[in-house]
Amino acid sequence: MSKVAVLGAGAVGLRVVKHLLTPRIGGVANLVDRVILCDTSGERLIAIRSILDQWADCIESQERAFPKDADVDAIVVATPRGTQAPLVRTAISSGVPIVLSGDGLAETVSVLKLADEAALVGVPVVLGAGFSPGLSCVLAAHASSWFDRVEEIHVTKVGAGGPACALVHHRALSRLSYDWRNNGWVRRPGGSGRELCWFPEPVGPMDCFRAALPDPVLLHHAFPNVQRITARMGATRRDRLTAPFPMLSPPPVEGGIGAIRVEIRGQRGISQDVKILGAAEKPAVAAALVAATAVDWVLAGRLQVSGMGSLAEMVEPVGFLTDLSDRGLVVEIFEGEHAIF
Amino acid sequence: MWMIRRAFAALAVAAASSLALRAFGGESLPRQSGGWRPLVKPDLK
Repeated sequence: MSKVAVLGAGAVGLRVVKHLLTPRIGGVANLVDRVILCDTSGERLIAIRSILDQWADCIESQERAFPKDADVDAIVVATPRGTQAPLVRTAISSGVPIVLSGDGLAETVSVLKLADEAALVGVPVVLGAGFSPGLSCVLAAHASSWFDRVEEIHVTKVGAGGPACALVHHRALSRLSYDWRNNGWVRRPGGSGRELCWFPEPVGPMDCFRAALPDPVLLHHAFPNVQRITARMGATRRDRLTAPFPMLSPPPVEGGIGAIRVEIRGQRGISQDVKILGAAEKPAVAAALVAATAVDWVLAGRLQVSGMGSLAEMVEPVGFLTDLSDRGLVVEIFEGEHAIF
Repeated sequence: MWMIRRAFAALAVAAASSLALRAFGGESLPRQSGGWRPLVKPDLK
């Protein structure tokens, strides 16, 4: 059995703890029997005590950013933006495998700069183990296996998890987006490039816009030969109008149902084809499921790549999606006129 | 001057018609084909 440290007791971190300690369907044994939950807010740790009461014997709460004793088998970083890169650096120097659930572009790029350090130490670092990036990367890897040659990957997302995630989303619309196009990064203003996208129900159709999202960076790392990689985010007129300003009202404790949609275009045999995969779930719920499953894969030694990378390159997609499905996450496929299966 | 007047007139007509469509337009059309279905294990297709 293993001991895992979860950094951040927010909407995602809290659920990761629950998933790690909850017995799984089908009699699959838990790999984790002890969790160290770290958060810099003592009030937060006290507030969530009743929620985690059921597992009180297995959880040790510490009011600090990083566990006092780094003698753990894996570390999950689910802290707000701006704090993740320093924590990942500390974890790498401790030689502990890391699962990072972050969705900020700047933060992801900062963490990617530590790739050489991680490779030198030989410690696996799973980047973007959340809803998007995270599940979106696995879906891209899964759909790509159906093509002979992948030419385009387009990721769209809607919804935010906890308050920290909502703040990242708010700012993403006013920052530059990075799309990969024909061997180079194209910078475009966030909030531009409206595209109507159909997400799985109950989200349905939503206008999506460019935003500072990390998905293209991670997907280009995993699929260096794909010609076009873009990411867009669902937003309302109010979101776009208020994006350049500070958040005037505090974000909700938890967002509603969100969704992701991954569109792959490429060649199958002699014809061009399109496949669209997606999922609808509360973003924090889905992110926690993905992060917890990633921890299981780290502990079981099932990662395909050592060092730093996204889930698209580190896990075998069918096995990972099957594990997610066993945990209750439903992945869907859009079947239109050009359906293959 | 004549060109400017025509440009303003065109803009006014465009704005008025888009406002009218926005205010009195019907419900959006439901999707005509295709739909989402869950991926099926074991191969998740």
